[in-house]
Amino acid sequence: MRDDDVAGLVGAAAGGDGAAWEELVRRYAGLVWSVARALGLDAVDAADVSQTTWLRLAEHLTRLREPERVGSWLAVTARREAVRTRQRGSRLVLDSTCGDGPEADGDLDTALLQDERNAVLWRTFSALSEPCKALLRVLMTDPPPSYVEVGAALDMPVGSIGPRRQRCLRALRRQIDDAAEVLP
Amino acid sequence: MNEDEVLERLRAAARQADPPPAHVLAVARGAHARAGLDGELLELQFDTLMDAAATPTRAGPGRRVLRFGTPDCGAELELAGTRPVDVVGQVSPAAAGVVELTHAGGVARAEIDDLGRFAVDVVPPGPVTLAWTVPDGRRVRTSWVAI
Repeated sequence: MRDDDVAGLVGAAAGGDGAAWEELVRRYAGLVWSVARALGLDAVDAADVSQTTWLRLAEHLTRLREPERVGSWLAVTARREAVRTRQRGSRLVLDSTCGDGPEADGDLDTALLQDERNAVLWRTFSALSEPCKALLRVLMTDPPPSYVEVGAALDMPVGSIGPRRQRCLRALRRQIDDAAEVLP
Repeated sequence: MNEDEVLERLRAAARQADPPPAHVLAVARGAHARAGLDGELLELQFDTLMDAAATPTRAGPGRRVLRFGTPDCGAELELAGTRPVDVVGQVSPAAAGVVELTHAGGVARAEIDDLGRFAVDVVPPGPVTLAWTVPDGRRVRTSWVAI
């Protein structure tokens, strides 16, 4: 999407245009959610962070200094709110089943993937290093984010995203190939 | 399979396995209609979760202090517990009145005493905002924050 289109949507939404707001949500809801997940939040905390981020944008629509960069604004707001939430600690930590928490989450995700190939891919992705997982989780956002937005999401220089992306995707592909060799 | 194809397959897998939940999208869509209803916005200025070095002594373990607006016009909140959350706070300038705390489950109202103090117990976790009327008659509201 072109910058002036995005700025136009922000301007229209600030003026009360509900359809423009819907389009902003359609365009960026995936990014906001991905940022919260990339920072390691579970689904409950990621939901709080996402909702808070959208409520913040709604109240700040008329004050954005660079409306064409609303995607980056959302990514930064979501990141800060996610860091805050991580500092506070997950509410689920208090549950007696805490030992099984993260694993159970991954299994649930895999169960939702009907396609076996995608399930293998998702499991392999989940086993990558934390920095690779965070970067790829944001890059796989639908629709695809710009590198500026990815940099804002992960507080990372834009110039470093390309090389890191290549390294992480190579690592992932190598492990998928290794897994394929041991399959019957 | 090259790297771009791997990323596209990941995108498809994420769409299936980890999309933004429907209730999140519903709040996101509804946020627009809630904006600008409650008057002047007071920004978050201080949060013990983010500004740990400057933590006031009152914020012990399990307590979080948030400050919105300015010392002349604003509010300080102290949160205890995680689910639900107990909120005590003080508005300035101090004046009796009513504070409205909007949360995931609705709106909770509480009396503000002569010293500006109030308490709202048993607030469900999630995004909250606090609104009240300052002595000169203006309606003010804190920026949304997740508790």
